[in-house]
Amino acid sequence: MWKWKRKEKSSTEQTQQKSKQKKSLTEFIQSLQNSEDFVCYSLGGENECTISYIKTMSDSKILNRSVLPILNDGIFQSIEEIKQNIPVENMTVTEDIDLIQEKVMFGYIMIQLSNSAKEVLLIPAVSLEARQVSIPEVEFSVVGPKEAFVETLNTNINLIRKRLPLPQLTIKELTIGKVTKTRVAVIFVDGVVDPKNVETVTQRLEDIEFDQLIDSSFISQILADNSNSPFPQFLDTERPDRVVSNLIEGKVAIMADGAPHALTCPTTVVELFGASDDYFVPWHLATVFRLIRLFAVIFSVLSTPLYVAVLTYHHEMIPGELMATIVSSRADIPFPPILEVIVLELTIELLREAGARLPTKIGQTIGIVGGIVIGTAAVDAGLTSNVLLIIVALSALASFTTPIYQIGNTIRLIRFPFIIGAQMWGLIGVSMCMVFFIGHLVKLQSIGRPFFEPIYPLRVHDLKDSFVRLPFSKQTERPTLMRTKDSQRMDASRANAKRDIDE
Amino acid sequence: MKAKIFLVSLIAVSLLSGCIDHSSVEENAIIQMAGYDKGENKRIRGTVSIPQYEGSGEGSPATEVYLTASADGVKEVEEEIQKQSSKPISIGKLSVTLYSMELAEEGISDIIDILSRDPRISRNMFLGIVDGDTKDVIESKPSSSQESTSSRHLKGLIDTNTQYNFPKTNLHRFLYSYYAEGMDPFLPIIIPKDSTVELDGLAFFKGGAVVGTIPESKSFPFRMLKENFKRGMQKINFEGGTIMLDNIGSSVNYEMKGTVDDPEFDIKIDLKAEVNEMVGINREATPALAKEIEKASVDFFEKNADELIQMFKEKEIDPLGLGNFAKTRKRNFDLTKWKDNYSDLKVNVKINVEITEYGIFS
Repeated sequence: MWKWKRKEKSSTEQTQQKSKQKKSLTEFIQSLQNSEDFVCYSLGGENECTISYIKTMSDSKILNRSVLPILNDGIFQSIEEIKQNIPVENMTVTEDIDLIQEKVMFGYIMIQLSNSAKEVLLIPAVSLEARQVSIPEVEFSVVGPKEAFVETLNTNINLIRKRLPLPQLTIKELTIGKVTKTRVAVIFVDGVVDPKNVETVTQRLEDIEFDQLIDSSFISQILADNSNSPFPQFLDTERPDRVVSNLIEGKVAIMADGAPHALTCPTTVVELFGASDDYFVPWHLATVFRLIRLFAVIFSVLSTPLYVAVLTYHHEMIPGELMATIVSSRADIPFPPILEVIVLELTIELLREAGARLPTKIGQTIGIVGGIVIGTAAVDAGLTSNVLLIIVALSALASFTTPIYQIGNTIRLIRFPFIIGAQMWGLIGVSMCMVFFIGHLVKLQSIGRPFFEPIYPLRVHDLKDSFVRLPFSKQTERPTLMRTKDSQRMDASRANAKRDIDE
Repeated sequence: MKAKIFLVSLIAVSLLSGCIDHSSVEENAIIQMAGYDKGENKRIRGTVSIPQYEGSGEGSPATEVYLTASADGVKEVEEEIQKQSSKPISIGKLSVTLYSMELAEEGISDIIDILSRDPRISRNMFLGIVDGDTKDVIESKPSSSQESTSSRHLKGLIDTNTQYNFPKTNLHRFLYSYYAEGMDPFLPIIIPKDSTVELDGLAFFKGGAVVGTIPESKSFPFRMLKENFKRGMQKINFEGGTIMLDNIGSSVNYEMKGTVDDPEFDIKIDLKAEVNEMVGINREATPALAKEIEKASVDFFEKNADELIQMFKEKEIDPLGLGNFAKTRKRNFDLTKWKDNYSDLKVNVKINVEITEYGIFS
């Protein structure tokens, strides 16, 4: 029965063995010569050598200005001598075919003195097309820094380092992805971070067995403690300022080359609802906004399930004054509340999906057209009640208040089990779903640290920056969750000292 | 394996128990008011009002449908009414239940029992005694200026007036005093008057039967004895004219002295009031006059309070809950003994009236 499976396994083993056999340099060059953009020519004259590079990856300026004049003018006996004369930094002389292959594929220029020699000189001439650093689009904030990560890892690390000029800021680099060979950086502040967290992250990264690593979200899915959970267990942010403040708190950041997002961990469910804006406004305002956001999330998840439950089972829960409004708006609808809700929720999801896939300008139009035209038409046609239309629109709006896109997606999805529960068992069904989700959240971990942290396990100290944000002077210690080696952020007595007179 | 068993049982439970019959709110006949009269041959005649909501129209119901049925018991009335209704009956939104005086005097213990058992019924529901036929009250078309349906009208009527002269009442309070030891319930009396209905006093229960009533004019003194309240008006005769006392804060305090066998109660009432209207009194408003009015009011209230307490003793009822008060404060409380001694109970009512304002003169 399982023959096909066994066969497949043995064939993969064979290919793996094949790939382990080292190719020779000439084989490598031959395989590259199938591509039109690979340039390989012999330089005549005094120094007979072969120059090979991929012209789409290499900067021809370096070749023309720094390499060719030297090679044409001088007479060199060995490859080491060339290396000493060419004014380009970080050149390597090697005969390791794996290294040669990796470097040439990245745009290094390879120079062989004569075709027979095994040693080659690799000159870095990488030309990378990269996007300019632009304003954050997913986590936009009105005040505060307006820089967002781009797809180049070096630029991203630069954005972090310039905000954190510390020798302790450590960056470990790994190469992950069998085919893509993506550079992945683990960033942390040594002396603040708990080394166990770094160990966990690096170990899990090293264990990744996957051929392609296109984006950092791949990492967040593969590294997740529970990959079947709808909740993101890594905080996904495009703001360097947020990453920096997380690093200082003792968290670990993971960045991948080609991904404009950084992942920070360990994270908690509360943190996913905090925006960086919260730190740019006075603490009372930030607290109120956070509570509004929390309410919005609860409303967004529970409003339509409650509508279904109350209208189907618990008529006595409708306030007397609302009775007439709800009943008369429902009177013409041919569907039971559950169908009505599912149809409308799916419509909203369609609009959202369509809006996300279309170009920005058309996307906005779709939102307006969909919202106004379809909504009004559905009510006029008697397919949905206008009360429900308001509820669904509000809950959709409320789900947009989540600052992190990934958790927004989760919120979008988890209301459906609630709706089904509400239809089957009324309020009991809603409570059952709630118990199920809270149980799941309590069990969930982010790199081995509790995900539901300030609430369960209850750590009163960490509540200072969760649902409420106390002023900076009250947050003198780093969060307990991080188990940081240096828990003191600043001197509490000096931070809270009263300065009546400005001397 | 565990997960599999869990999944299978979850699916089984959801599929098997998801089959109960349910209908959306607009497919139900939502009873908002019910009334019970004495029917023929010791039967109960129930009348219900069901608002009819117009589709795609304005929010308020335009009409009400009244259904009447006779049966031996309350649940049977429900069943009989179901036979007349095209939609399933839903009693969760019942907001007013009325009993005719005739029925209430015979005792409504059986009906009260049903009310206390049904979890769908709101504890905020209002109960009332109708001096006359509840059917007439329920089916009375309210005058055009007021609420659109009679259930809303009656609910609003009781709700509003229990903020003024009438003591607070609802199903919860009624059941509490019905089941409490040393406490008896009371309900407001509603009478049909011309084209509308009116609150007309209080009916006092002994067990499940009405044994005494007081007119609307005495409900202010009763409320003063029963609970703290902040509104309401009382007319007081003074030197041939009348004065309207406008209550702005009345607080009552019970104190128990003596032993369980020989208790004595002090009821202290502090009333703050304004005087805004004096009819037929040709005197200038001065602090001296205010003092005189205060004294007259104290006399008036003390007289009324004594009369009320005397009446309670005669009827052997305890709407103030003095027995309950004693029970919660003294050990060895014996209900039968208390009842035997109730008629000799010493209750001293001390009233202090303070007139804080008597208006602005020019």
